[in-house]
Amino acid sequence: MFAQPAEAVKARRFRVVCSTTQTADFTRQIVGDDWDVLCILGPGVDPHGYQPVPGDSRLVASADLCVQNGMNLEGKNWMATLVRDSGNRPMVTATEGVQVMTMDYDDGMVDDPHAWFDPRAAAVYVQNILDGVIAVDGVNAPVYRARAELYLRQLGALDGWVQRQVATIPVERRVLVTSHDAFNYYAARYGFKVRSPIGWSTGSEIGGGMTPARRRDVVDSIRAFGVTAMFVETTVNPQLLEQIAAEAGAVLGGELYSDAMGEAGSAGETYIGMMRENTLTIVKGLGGL
Amino acid sequence: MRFIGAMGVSAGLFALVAVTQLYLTRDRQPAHVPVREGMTERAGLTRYRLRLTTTFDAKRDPFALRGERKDEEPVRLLVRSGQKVLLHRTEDVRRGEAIEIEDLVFEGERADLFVLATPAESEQVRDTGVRIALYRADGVLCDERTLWMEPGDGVISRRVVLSLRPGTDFAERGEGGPDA
Repeated sequence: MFAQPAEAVKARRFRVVCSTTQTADFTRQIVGDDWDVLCILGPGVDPHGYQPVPGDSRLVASADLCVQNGMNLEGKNWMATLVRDSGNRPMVTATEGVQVMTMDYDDGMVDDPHAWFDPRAAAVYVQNILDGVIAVDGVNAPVYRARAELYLRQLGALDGWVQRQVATIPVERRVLVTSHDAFNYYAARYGFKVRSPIGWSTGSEIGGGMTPARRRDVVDSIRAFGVTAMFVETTVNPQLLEQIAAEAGAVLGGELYSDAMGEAGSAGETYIGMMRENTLTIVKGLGGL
Repeated sequence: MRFIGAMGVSAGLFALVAVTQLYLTRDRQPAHVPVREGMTERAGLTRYRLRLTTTFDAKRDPFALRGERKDEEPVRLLVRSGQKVLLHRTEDVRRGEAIEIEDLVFEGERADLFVLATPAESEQVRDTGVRIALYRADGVLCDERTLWMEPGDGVISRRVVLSLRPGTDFAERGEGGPDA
């Protein structure tokens, strides 16, 4: 599909441009140091509301391969638009083929794009990206496949580890309240109930549309569900959640990596590190371990 | 008359040579090797049968690398001897279903195997294992082992060494790293 002439394959390094930090990490696990992996979003940047800048177009135009999450995580499909405007560079939509969950949005239902929080879905991301990489550079396919196979095993081990950690939380405490509903896949995989006290939507922070009456409802529902801890996210302003937690008698259990991973050098720099840190924060906050 | 005499002497010489050969051959045969019915004397030609029984339903492993073709189903149960694939099953396997691989030939005194099995996710809350039994073609059990899944692994992916000689136990038997 994206085949390159043989002489071009030998002559230069390939470049892949990814929309989000998660897709960039998955790609890096496959191509190793053999390719240049660039990411449009930096650590901690919210993909829902991102506004592309002119430099992004130039970056995409220079890519041998582009990777996006898809399912409208990139708000208003900004990555697909960049790719189209840059002469339709080859692009992989990493979520293609995942078991899709749906979520409320503007009185309707839409596909939930936060699929990477289920490691089984992350494995689908890796397979899709692998296919895209091999389509560009089939000569080195055995190397890419070997890297991908090892990484998939690591994802399998991560999945088992998370299950064991979550099992230490008393069942009645497995209620996950976060700033926005990014954790549906995680919750479904590991047996949490998800509570969205204000019925917020993708891209909306907890404060969106808040009125005194709704705020009372939120506080009441948190009390009713016996929520002991709530969690803020690295990409969302924590102020309102802090106030609601205080009113409801809950505590803030810590900060979770959600739509973007952590800074270089932080524990959340990689997908596996991000999942590990989130799990430890959740388990500790809800009385496990 | 002379012709008949010569024939008689020749026959006598042939008989003497034949008897001598039989005698020498009998002396060289090691007395301690039992010759069993139905077993080829050369170990390399002995045929074996491998029986695998899982304690779980084996289904698609979500973390298995897809085949080179997109429509290729990931493997549920794999048995390899060195680089030789003895079993590559891509259909689901039911718990307790016995799967047999026949007409196997091994060299030396042991069968060094790599086994991969992918329990369905619903099965991973209980102990999951694969029972492996190696039989000679005449039905004599040579060796058997059970490979248990390590907690949190998600798959059984182990090397197993089975003895080809019934009743033999050796230090390396059944132990080993993740791959052969």
